[in-house]
Amino acid sequence: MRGFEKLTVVNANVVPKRYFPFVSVDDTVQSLKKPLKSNAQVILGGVFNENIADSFYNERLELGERFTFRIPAPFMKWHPAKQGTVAKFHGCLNRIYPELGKISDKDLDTLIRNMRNKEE
Amino acid sequence: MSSPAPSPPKAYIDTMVFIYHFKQHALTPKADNFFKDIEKGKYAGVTTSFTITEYIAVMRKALAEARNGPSTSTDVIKLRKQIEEFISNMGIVYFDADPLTSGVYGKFFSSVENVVENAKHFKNRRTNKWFVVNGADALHVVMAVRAGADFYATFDDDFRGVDSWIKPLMLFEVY
Repeated sequence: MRGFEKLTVVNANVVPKRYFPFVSVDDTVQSLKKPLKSNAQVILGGVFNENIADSFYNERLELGERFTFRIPAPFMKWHPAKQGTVAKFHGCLNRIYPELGKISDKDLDTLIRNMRNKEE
Repeated sequence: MSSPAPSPPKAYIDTMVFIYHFKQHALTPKADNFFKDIEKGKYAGVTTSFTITEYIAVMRKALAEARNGPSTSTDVIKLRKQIEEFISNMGIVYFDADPLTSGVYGKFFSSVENVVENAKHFKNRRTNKWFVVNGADALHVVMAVRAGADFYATFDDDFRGVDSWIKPLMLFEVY
């Protein structure tokens, strides 16, 4: 058809495979009919009110008012940590990728600042 | 029947805290000490799939710069496996960012706008620089609040002014 170009369609509606060792649930494919899970009503010291769109302003919070709102359930819940994990993973990238030794502290800080489009 | 132990105060973990723990840096000891507190049960860590996304993006760039060549799909798998194993072993509460940002729980980006417009400025007396959250920072603030976190654990001064929504935990001062 004149005036129209054939566009390359990229399927962006895919999610990465996950490797969590303690999780067997695959949530990468969800039925459209399946409602989003939600845990119970919680009180979090107040940030939202009934209409979240205009509730993030903190005036009512400053007055000491408390609000309730629903939050989604986490994919993985809290459990006590496996002891020794911090020591096991300390500096692990330098062992897996020795070439990362070439990246100085300043270089890494710059990459981190750039991650959120911040000035150096 | 005994009820499960209540979780400690929740600390949302900013992306660079993971990076400084995994990649050797002057701030690595401070990140380690924070994670040791999580290991001891002082805090319950909280994170999202978006944090993993940012972590992988930074490390892919770091690898490309270190090699003067592109990172590979094997690198991405390795990076993802390693951070996900860490999150699992640490008992960190993990949220999928999709439902967390869903409109079902209220307007997400309106809240982000509100944080950007109302967050306080902070001036670092030592460097004389001014700090305030940007849009990407505010995304994390709203996700942290939605995830029920009590603290925002970070090394970034920009987050000092978000205490109307969540208490910043400035790791270079606490540790």
